[in-house]
Amino acid sequence: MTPATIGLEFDKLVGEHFAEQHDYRSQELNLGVSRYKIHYFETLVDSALIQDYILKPLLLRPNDPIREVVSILDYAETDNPGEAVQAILGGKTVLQRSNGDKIYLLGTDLKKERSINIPTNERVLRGPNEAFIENLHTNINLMRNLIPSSELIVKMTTVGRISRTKVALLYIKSIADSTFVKEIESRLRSIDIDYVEAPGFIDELIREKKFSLFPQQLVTERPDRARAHLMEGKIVLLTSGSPDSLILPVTFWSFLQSPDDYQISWLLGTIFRLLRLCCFFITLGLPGLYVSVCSFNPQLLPINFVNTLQSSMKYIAFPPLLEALFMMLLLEVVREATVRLANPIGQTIGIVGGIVIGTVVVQSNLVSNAMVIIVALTGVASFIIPSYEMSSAARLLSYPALLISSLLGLLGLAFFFMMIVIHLCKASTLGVAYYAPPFTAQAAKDTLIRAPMWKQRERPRDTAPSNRTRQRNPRGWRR
Amino acid sequence: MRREQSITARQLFALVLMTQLGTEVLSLPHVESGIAAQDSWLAVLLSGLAGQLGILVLWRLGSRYPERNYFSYTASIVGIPAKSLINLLYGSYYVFSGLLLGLQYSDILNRWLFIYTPRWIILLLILIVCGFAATASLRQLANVVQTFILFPILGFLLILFSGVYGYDATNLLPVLSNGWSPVLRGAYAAFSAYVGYEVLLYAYPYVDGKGGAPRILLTMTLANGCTTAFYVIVCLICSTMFSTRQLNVIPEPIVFILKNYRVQVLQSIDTLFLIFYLSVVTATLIVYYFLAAKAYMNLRNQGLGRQGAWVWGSVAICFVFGLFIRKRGLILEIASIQDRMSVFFVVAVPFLLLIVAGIRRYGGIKS
Amino acid sequence: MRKKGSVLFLCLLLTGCWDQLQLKKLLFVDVVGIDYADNQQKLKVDFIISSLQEANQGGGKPSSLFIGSSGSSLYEAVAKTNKELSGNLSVLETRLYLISPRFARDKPLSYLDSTAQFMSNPLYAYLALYDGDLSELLGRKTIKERTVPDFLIGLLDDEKERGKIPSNKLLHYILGGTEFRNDFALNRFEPYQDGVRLSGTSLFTNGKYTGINLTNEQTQLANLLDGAAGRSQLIIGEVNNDNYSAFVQGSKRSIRVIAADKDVKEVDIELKVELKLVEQDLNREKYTDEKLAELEKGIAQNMESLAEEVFATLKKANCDYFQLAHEIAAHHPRLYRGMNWEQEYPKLRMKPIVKVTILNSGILES
Repeated sequence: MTPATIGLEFDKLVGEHFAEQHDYRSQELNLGVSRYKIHYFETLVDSALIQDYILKPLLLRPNDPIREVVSILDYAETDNPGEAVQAILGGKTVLQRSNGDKIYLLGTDLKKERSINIPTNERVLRGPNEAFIENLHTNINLMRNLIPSSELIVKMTTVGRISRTKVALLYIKSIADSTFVKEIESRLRSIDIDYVEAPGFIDELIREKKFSLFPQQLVTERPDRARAHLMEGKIVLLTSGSPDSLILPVTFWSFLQSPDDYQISWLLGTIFRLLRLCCFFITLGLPGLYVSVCSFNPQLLPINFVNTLQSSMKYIAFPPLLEALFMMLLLEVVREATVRLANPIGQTIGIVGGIVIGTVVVQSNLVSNAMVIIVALTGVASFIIPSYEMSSAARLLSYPALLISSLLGLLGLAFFFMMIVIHLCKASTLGVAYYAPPFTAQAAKDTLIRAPMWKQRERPRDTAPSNRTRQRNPRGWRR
Repeated sequence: MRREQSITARQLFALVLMTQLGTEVLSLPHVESGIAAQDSWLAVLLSGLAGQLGILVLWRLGSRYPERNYFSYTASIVGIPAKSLINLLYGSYYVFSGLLLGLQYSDILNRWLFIYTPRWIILLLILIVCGFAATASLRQLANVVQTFILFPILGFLLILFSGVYGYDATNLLPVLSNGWSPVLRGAYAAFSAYVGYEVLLYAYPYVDGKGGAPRILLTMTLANGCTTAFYVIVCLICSTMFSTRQLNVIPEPIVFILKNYRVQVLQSIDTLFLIFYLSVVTATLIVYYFLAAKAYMNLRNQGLGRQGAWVWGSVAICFVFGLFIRKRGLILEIASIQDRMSVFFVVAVPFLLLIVAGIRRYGGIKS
Repeated sequence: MRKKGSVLFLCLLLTGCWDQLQLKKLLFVDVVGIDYADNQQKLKVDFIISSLQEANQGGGKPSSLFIGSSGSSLYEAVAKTNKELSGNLSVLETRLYLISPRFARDKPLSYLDSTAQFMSNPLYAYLALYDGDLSELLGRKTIKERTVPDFLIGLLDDEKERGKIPSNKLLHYILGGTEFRNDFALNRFEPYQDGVRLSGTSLFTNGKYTGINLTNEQTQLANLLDGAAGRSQLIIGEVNNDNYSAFVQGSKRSIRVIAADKDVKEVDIELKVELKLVEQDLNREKYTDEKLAELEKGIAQNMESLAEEVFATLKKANCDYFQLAHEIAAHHPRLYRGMNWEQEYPKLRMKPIVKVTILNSGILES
């Protein structure tokens, strides 16, 4: 295209796209011999950058080639008007010279972002307290600072026709399985959708099992967690506009691990991990177990115990199933409400909902004492699980467990657990089995227990097929 | 057909152990006491040894064809039409065994735990779980079974702890008071407790790891040994805690032993044991339906139909038949038929095939 | 269609399904008393139902409810009570079955066999004999400020812990009996002042009450001779006109059958006890070895004579409490097959041999 047509084409496009935009600015500058035109969105650019590094140098040397005058780092030239329009929307300033054959795209984006803070949903007692923020570049900055190695590869793609969200794929070249990387890339490329709300949409669009309550990918806002998984050969997806990163392929056990397991001694870490596993089972099965023992098999409890239970239930109007459902729904309602409310009111509602309603409900003979204890224990146990998705899944699964225990007693509960185990065994992400029983020493090292660091010499086989040794002589000081 | 993923030797161990354990642990002491009186533990031990011999036969057969599974290499031994017949028969045998086992355990649950629940509901639940799991691949199946292996271990510990007090070793004397013949008859009656190791026929080519054939034999021996130990200890505990008179009357003595156990917060743990044991029975059923589907799929070299279709079809047939069989006497009759079928399919047919294969090879070398 | 389905589902939720019990409506029977009604044909069955009252906010009072019924079998008696009292009688937690001597003399076990058919009956309940008016005892509200079930079962539990009485679980006796011969001794209660007390055991032969009882001391020794462990059972007596008290710390028994050609000449029951001497007539000096040996011999002689009394009583009742038939059948099967045990047992020569070892050397360990 000749310079003139480029200019005309550009003006036409600008008229098409930006005629109704009131924050779009276009100015003409007569400097020396040439005439310049700059186009920008005043809401997207940092005007100081334009003044100091574009206009000032141009004013001083108006006739020299733009490349030598303008001191902007993010400099590009194009003769494609469409690209220039897209660049304006991205926050760049477009500079046109009359009689010039190129359009210059100068990066002057204004980034408004919050500072790096403590993670809101993944608190730990020991460990770093940085969290990802919404800006993709800052997030990648954090990751690169944590792994300053040339092995860390960052690949960018765009997803969403209108939202044009940038997605970054991170992996460690020498560890991760390249077939996984290719597969994920192809899945991302094939997403055909208008806009993407990361990571929820991306998760649903690239996961394999469509109807599973269990989360298939790990969502985290902690860079240290992302780094740990990268080191095991997993792949991390960062999306611009969202502080949550997506890690895949993960197994069931990843959802029960927390970063502070590794910061404290391995004995303590093991105990806390086992505690979390127990709490997972408690969340799933405790209300169901209670209802089935009360309603089907009271002979499991000695007579004093049974008499106590019976006397607490004597004047209650509801059958145990409805009591349990009522209390569990109440717990869910209070939990949702506390999330939505502003901080001070939220804490008050929590206390009001928890203590006062609990006591009053017992005194009014609607619900028995034992049921309040059971449901409270279930609720609190579910919050021990470090991943929000997994704890919600566990809490929600306790409802069908409760229903089926009330229909068929312990048989129903056993049936339910067997179905869960079979479902977990049949699930897989990218060919990596979602769940494998940790009953060998190799498998139990980082799942059931937290083996000492000097024992974890090899990476898990599934995600790091080639480069498996991660430690050669960790306690080298001890001959 | 999709190539199966490999399983480790440990997973093979878990698979064989869980398939071998069945409802016999509940009924064996009663049956044996009627035949061998106080020597029932000896009869069960002999039966375990016989099972070991059977395993040797299967292992030898499998080591000749380490690349293919049983349902496809029989073609090399006896030709394709006979292979199709064999596959059909095996498939039907497994579906039949599945039906019987499902009926037996739902009958036991009905009698001991859930009196008013209609039996078809219990049967339906068990069959749904089995159908859901049997559509998985061998490795996923092994994962499931490995997870379930926790439960028979717990059940075994429960039995051990409740059998420790109040036993009377003089119940076992005098040994062999009536000679060997009741013991041998008892061993024959107990053999159905060890049936289940024939999962090796299908799984042999898919077990990975160094060590090859000897390692597989070692794994199988260990699994059979554990099963034998389990059954022998159960028989010992029942013989020492009950008199022969009582054992001849009580159809499931273990349940009564577990009823006696009591601590401050828990009593009458036979309920727990029966529920834990449900996982063992389910594992056996899953393997049976899986093998039946594989037998049918191997009717054609490229695979006939999808595994899911075969599995759910077999499950549906079992459920329909199960609706009509109600009387306990009928179930016992079917059980005795299945005992004889199992000896035929698990011991006789592989043995014959081994001989034919040996003759063919020998004939081939000669010519 | 969907509406009907959801309504059906809700009904399932509200009414419970099939095997579901309503814990509120269950009446947990704690003690069952069985006696004959005035004619021998019908049984008179009494139930005590225990529950906890007023336990809403901690605390609670244990209370018991008495129901009497009759019928030709246990099942019929239970069925009759359903017409008189609302709620479901449940034997899921029964801890004690009491029978009267009249009932015990006449094939009690054949009626009790039917308890094995109750699906979830935990058969660890105790079986005991009450030598008095069962209905009157069970109808009381409290004995010494405890409910009747708590009192009776507490007595049995505590004495069993102390090793003084044999453990009588129902399962050992029904369905033919766990032991080789169905001869056993049941704990016996008798009325005493305004309550009841344990008073020895009653001897049963072939599942029937013989009418003959053992006293408390005889019961304790018989328990030790039967192989019970030493649990600080108290032994008192007199040696050389000095009273002594000792605790049994350890006890081991062995049975020796002395047989010659086709005959059992003698059965020796040997008991080795280790005692801890507590007091002997306020003597505070340290004992010399000779004195201890003398004391040991004296105690052994006392125990042997008591054991002879026990044997005599057992033989009179023709009750093979120590299951000697089993010993002979196990070690000398041919011999046993040639014997008619019912006739031979009363004539059998049984000799007790007691060896006593005193563990401490003075009243206070120095």
